[in-house]
Amino acid sequence: MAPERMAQGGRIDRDRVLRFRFDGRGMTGHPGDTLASALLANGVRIVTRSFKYHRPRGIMGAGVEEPAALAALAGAQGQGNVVPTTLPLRDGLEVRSIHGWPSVRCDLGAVAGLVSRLIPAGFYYKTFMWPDWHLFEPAIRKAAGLAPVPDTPPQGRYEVRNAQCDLLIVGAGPAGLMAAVVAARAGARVMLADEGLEAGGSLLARPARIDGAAAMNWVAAAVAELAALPNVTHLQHATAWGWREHGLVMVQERAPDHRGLIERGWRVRARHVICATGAIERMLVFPGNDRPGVMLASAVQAYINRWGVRPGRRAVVFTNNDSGHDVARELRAGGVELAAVIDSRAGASADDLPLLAGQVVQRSLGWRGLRGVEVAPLSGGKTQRIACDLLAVSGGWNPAVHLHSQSRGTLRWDDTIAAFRPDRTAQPSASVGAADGRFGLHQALQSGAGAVAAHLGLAMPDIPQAEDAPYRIEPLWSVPSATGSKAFVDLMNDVTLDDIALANREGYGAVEHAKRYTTAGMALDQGKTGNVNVIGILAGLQDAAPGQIGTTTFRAPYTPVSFGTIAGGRAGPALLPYRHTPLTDWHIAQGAVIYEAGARWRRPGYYSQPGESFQQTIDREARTVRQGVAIYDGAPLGLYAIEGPDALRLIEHACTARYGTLAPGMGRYGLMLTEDGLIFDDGVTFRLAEDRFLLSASTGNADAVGLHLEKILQIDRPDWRVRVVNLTQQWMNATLCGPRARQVLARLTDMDLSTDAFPFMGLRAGQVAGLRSRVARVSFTGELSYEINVRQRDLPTLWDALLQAGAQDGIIPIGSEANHVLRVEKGFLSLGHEVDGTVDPYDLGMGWAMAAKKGDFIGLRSVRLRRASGLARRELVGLLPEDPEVSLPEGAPITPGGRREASEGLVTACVRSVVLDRWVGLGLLLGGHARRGERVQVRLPDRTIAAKVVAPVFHDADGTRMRE
Amino acid sequence: MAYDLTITGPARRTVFEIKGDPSALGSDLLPPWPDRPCRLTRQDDRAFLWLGAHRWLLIAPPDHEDGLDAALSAVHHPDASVVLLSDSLAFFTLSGRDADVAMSIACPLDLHPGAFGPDACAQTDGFGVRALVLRQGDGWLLAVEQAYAPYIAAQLAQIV
Amino acid sequence: MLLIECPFCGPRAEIEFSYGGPAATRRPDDPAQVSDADWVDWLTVPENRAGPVPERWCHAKGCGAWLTVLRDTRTHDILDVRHGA
Repeated sequence: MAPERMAQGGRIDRDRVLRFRFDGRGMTGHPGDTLASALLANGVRIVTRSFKYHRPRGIMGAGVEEPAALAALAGAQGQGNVVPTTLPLRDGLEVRSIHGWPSVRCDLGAVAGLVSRLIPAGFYYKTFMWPDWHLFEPAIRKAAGLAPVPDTPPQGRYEVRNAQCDLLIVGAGPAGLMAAVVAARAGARVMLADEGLEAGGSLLARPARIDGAAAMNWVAAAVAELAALPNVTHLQHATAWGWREHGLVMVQERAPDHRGLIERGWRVRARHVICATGAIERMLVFPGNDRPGVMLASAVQAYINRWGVRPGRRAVVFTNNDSGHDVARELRAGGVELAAVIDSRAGASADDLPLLAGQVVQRSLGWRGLRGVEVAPLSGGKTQRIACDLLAVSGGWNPAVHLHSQSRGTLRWDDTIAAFRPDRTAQPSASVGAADGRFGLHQALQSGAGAVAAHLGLAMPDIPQAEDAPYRIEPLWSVPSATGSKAFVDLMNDVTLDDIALANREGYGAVEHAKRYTTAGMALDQGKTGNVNVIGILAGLQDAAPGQIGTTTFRAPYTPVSFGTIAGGRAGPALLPYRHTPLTDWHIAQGAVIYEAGARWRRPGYYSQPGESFQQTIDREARTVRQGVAIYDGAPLGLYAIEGPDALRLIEHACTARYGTLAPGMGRYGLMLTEDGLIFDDGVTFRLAEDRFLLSASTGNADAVGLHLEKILQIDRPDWRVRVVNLTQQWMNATLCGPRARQVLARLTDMDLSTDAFPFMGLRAGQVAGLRSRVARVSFTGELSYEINVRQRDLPTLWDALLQAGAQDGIIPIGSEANHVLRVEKGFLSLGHEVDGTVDPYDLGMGWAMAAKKGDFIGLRSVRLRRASGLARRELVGLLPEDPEVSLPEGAPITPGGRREASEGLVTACVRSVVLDRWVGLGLLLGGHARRGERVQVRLPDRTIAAKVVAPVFHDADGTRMRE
Repeated sequence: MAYDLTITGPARRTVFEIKGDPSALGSDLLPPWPDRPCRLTRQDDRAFLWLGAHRWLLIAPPDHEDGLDAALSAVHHPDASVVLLSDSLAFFTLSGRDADVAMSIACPLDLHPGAFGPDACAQTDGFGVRALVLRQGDGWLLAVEQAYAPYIAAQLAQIV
Repeated sequence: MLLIECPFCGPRAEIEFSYGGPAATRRPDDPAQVSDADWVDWLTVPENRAGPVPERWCHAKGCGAWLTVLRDTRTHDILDVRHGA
């Protein structure tokens, strides 16, 4: 048995032994242990070196409040910065102390503690400002006492569930359990979430009684009753860590009993929330209050009663309130020698205890561990030393108002308990028991039952019998000797009383400023045991009441949360899921390099052949389109049916072109503008019949165009008789392009493909390869081109048929890289390149697309307003690098004379042209239309590239090839 | 512990979207109208869903497509559109004791029987994409844009 | 995450919705008749106060309805939801 384990007692399974290692030393514990209780049972006193001063630190708390100790887990379950007080002990756990080189017992970095006067509050802000914080950050992280990131990702997976309930009860202590039982019996949908390993809350750690028997008997009965009810979901080891808008509470369930599941997140939408989150004990601020052996009194109590662990052999209790007295008695009952109870209250009395009333601990004694305390009257006077290896401190109790406060509920300062407690709620909720500042057991049961009864409109139910222990406190924010020495208000971040005083002197006395200036309350524990001391100290410095100082904002998460618990299964590429065309698998099988080509579609970028360079592949694919025939997967192209008597009105309102003159079976290119007159999308709209149209939208914008059209109809024009239906996923096209496209298509269809019968911009319905098809003769490459639309299910059949029919003409599939080359050669615009949210049609030389004669349409008014200003605009130009073998990086700025000054434009695209056999580019250039023939300079970090401004078209300027 | 969950799909069904006024279609092709949005009626393996403002969906077995298409695609009414969308949606079924759990992972809807009855239907967020949800037998029918079918299949397979 | 009561679908989680910006007054029927100043004002000066503000939300993953939502920017309280403008 571990050396500090008591012979009996505690809620551990002594029949089973769990083996683990701490810094290589083999140790044992039992089921029911936390890592912290097991370490203490094995006599481990130092587990961490502190963040800034590298001071040795031990375990001080027993739960989420732990203010000092952190550990790292190694191996397959690797995890940094684990809080040992909340980690259930597991067999085979490989635990490392944090920041000890060469070991936590002998840390060379502790020399920082000797020069600590040189590292005051605000040190980082003052010292590491020039030239750039990021220069210093890696070294600071290495020097700071934080665990490294594990080498491997966690083994297993995460899951997130959504849940809904009438009542979410947070906390399964006496108040929460009582509330849950009342609500469950009334038939409400109840969710009960508790952060502890088992239900009971504070009852797990103290010998309380309910209905004349051990309180844990009542807990067990309540848990069993809840388990039998179908309307109750009861989670243990599950922390409600965030409360968002409209009753959404985030819960992290650790180690759920499920194969391969590391953690489970819950997004709980609750109609009503009961905060039964208990209370957290405060530290006391005195010199050396961080020395291993100093612990929270409540933690000492928990280790003795719950885990059967003796945290020391000879103890002193230091308190400013009644709760410390009970701990002293339980220490003695647990076989620990009680040297003294130091109570700062002059009027304190307890006949059965060695009480020193009106006295305080002036400082702790010892080096690595506690050897004793120096005690003196609070009002000054003779000092005495008391030997001890355990100091249990209680600075009073704070209601755990975090969740209530996250919901925007307000707080008020209550002098009788010297703490902030919930005041007004902001969302349907109530705080009960200790979370509401009612620390007695009877009060907890009564308020838990009462809150539920009030919410559900029930009569107040009978509650079990229990006693309220007295609770009186006189605040003690720090002892008089704390100034000028290491008296910590935040142990994890090594913030001292002096730091708070310095912040106050330097003008950062507002509580939010003091927090950021000193980093008090910003460590993993978020200052659960120290923040109110900071507030009290500031109040003292400013001669104000703590209520006037106020609290910092409580934000999620309440305790550290893994990203896995937030993301669940939506990690990696599933965060933004990909869309697949019916051909994506075929492309992959062909060895295509797959790109995301807008709107998360997985499309082929290019099809490498053995021995080809990237550039050779692109050249081959592009050249095949210019000289032969190729096919392209056009499945994702956006497509909308627009039908109804007002279909034409809608299209002419949304697009720049005129469509009233369009004959059925023909299409027209147009731009879609936003109301501020900038280009939003472009595409061809076909007329099927008088009142029926097909509108195509670019792939990347297909969803946005749908929203845009519906917004027009539902918000602005609800009286128009027209419907928009998204066909993007119903009809999908394979684009057949190149001078030989017609002869290949002719082998698969009876349609008359002559230009007379089927002209450029025509749309024909018929059979292709025996499939129901609509063929559009449009071109994004500048070559003869047919977009053959079939039902989604038929696209693979069509694709195969086209490859077979075109085999004798050397048909190949091409990817989006070649398409990019072809469209740049033609100067066709592309979203995200030339259309970057700043350009209007005139900027791109597309004033012809503004059919102003038809009257108003979206964007016209703003375009006119902008044009009327006469201000110079960035306009689309072609760019020819002077050295034809040099490419212009896409996105690179063009600056006047190539100087390092504000840009006058940018390169929007640059490709190696297969028709000119050189690099060609497109760009936006200030006043560019009038600057053709000029020489401009593209500015790179280390050099400039000269380019000539030309017309933005490099191939078949009059467009005869695609029209023939 | 593992989930008791059986997943089928993705599969295609016959789907028509009706936009505008469905009375334009004549009643003999459709089950009776649901009485309010997010409700459906069933008749002869066909389900008629009222999805929201001026939007209805007819879902039928795959082999009903030709017959329905012949009858419905000819409808050209000034105030109604009937559009074949069978290819647009991929259908998954979830059944087994933990089908409800799987659905709680998939979507934020309250699917408690008291909140989502046998004649309920909804479009919602399913694993981050738009999804159609309705009950089927003791389990669930989940339909998504077919381009997301491989993604949804992978997400469902991950729930074990 | 907000809970928005869609008039067709009932209360739904915010992730089902797309935000459509602050709700302007109705678009002028003939913008050509509107002065430059008034046009710029209509286009670019939405109400942005601490308090109830009308916004457009589309139930994009749900029924597709475009809604006008009156949301209190101080508290996220949603005071009114209607279909259309």
